[in-house]
Amino acid sequence: MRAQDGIDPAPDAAGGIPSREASGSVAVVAAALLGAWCVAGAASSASSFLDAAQSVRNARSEGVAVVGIPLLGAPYVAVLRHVLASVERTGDAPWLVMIPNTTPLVVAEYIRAQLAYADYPLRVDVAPLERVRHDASYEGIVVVPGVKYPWAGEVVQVIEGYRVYRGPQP
Amino acid sequence: MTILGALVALLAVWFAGACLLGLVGARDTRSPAGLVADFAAGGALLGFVGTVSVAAGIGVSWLTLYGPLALLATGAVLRRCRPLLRIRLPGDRPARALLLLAVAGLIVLGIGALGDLLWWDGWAIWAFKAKVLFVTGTLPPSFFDPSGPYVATNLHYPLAVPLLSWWTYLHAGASDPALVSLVGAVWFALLVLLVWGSLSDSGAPRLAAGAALGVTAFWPISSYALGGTADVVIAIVLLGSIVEMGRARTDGGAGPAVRLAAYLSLGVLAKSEGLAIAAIVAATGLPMLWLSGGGKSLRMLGAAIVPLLVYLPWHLFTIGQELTSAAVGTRSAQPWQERANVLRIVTEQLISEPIWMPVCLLGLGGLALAARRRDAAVLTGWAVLVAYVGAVIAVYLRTDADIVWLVATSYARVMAVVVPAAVVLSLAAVAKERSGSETLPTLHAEPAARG
Repeated sequence: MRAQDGIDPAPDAAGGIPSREASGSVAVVAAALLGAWCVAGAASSASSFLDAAQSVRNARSEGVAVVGIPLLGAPYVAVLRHVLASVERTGDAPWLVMIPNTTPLVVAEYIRAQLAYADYPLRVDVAPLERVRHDASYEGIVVVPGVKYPWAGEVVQVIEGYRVYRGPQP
Repeated sequence: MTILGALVALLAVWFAGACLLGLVGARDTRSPAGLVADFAAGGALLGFVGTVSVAAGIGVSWLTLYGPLALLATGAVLRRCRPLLRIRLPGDRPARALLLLAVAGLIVLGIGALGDLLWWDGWAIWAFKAKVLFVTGTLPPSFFDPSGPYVATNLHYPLAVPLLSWWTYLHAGASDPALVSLVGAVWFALLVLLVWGSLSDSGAPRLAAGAALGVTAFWPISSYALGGTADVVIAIVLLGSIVEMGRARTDGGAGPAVRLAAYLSLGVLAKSEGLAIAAIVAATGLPMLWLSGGGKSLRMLGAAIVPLLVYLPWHLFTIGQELTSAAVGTRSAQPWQERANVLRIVTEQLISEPIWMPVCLLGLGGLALAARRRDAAVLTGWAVLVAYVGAVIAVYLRTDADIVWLVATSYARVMAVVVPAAVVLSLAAVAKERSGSETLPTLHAEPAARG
């Protein structure tokens, strides 16, 4: 590359003249490492982005695209958005989505965050029964299939097995 | 229309920055890096005005940027500043081909961004705050309740990044998360431009173009940029600061100091890492610069102080709201076993993918070359970079969070911040080795080195 760039050798910082061969070999090694990095990076990027693109397509086709990439809890979110959009909400108090006790906390947080993004400024708490905040007052509660609702209350709606309750809470 | 609106929003940010820098005679119109400095200054301006507006309870609106922009543009017209840039493409054909490949990669990534590739932090923290700003015109007091439902959005994080996303939402008329991905793609393109611009006058156009292509192809930066995280902004702040410190060695004018202040101000308003960079530049970079005989002016001192003043309103606001960072823990030290665990995890991550190896070797070689040449300009950059890595490791060792989780979720993003600067510094040293000292307007060595 040196010949094309048309640069003559010049003294180095220590006052010495670097040989054409020495400075040339440094440039060749650097160019080789740079080239290897470009190739490895391009291959790695292509692979990861193709995976992501596939995920985005899946998310869109499954109708769960709060954001593009399917996230933890996305299957719940897809139905819950539909359920929450179908009920009358005033926004004065949050809603609670009651999920199974076996649901990992990180999944619960992902569901809550996705619903928060989709529903803001309306609020939705997401918790298994054992973690329900007893100091909170909810406008209504959505119970996912398979979870037993522990309190008295009126089922006002059932959508795809998700029951919507209003009424007394603990 | 949505995308057009977003592009108008981003153009306004660039124009505001160009007017701001032009008015104080600090615009760089000769290098592609100048465009990045303009945008950084515009982003910092939007971040500062927006932050003050939110903290003061005024809220944000069209006036948040167009108000200052009207004043700046009037001043720029009166002073006959021109918002022009002269970007010269290299005459060397292979270099142009490499740049063309980089641009093609950026276009592909830009199209990918339209499909919305947001990552957890991208939508749960940054895009969500932008949505709240869009829906309510501010971040209401209830949002900052430390025991409230939005605590997972890292309430203490500064607002420059969500404010820019909100600004695009405002112009697009919709809070579409894909716009945050698009903004990330623009930041990423600016980073590539900065990498190329930093080396474009080095006399090694192929290395400069190759570096731009390498960064384009480097997924730890591109995927998280399109994922909507703030790390790409920090990468720009780190590299931009190093470049401007290098320029300050030979340019005693206001330009490098003001642009350095703009980069650092953007950083402190973007993320805690930006605050760390500002502190490192003030404590390490500038003293090294002065000791090696460069940048001895009050302007450079101002460049260190301005970011702190810019950060002050947000700092006071977080104190008032009793918001604290969860990442930096209270432990004085982790047990030795856990410290060793951090090193083991980082090492495992580094050898887990082939992409890390060439760039690690390139960085080590570049550092050795700079040390052998006793090149003060490049060594100052390396000192800032090494200090930044040290600060990250210190957080790893002091955190109250699970170390394994913290390293696993952050190491790629840390590398994404560090690698562009390491590549530029390494290739600057290589270019100097090949060409002699004087041909590097960007990262100058001392003319006296010619002996």
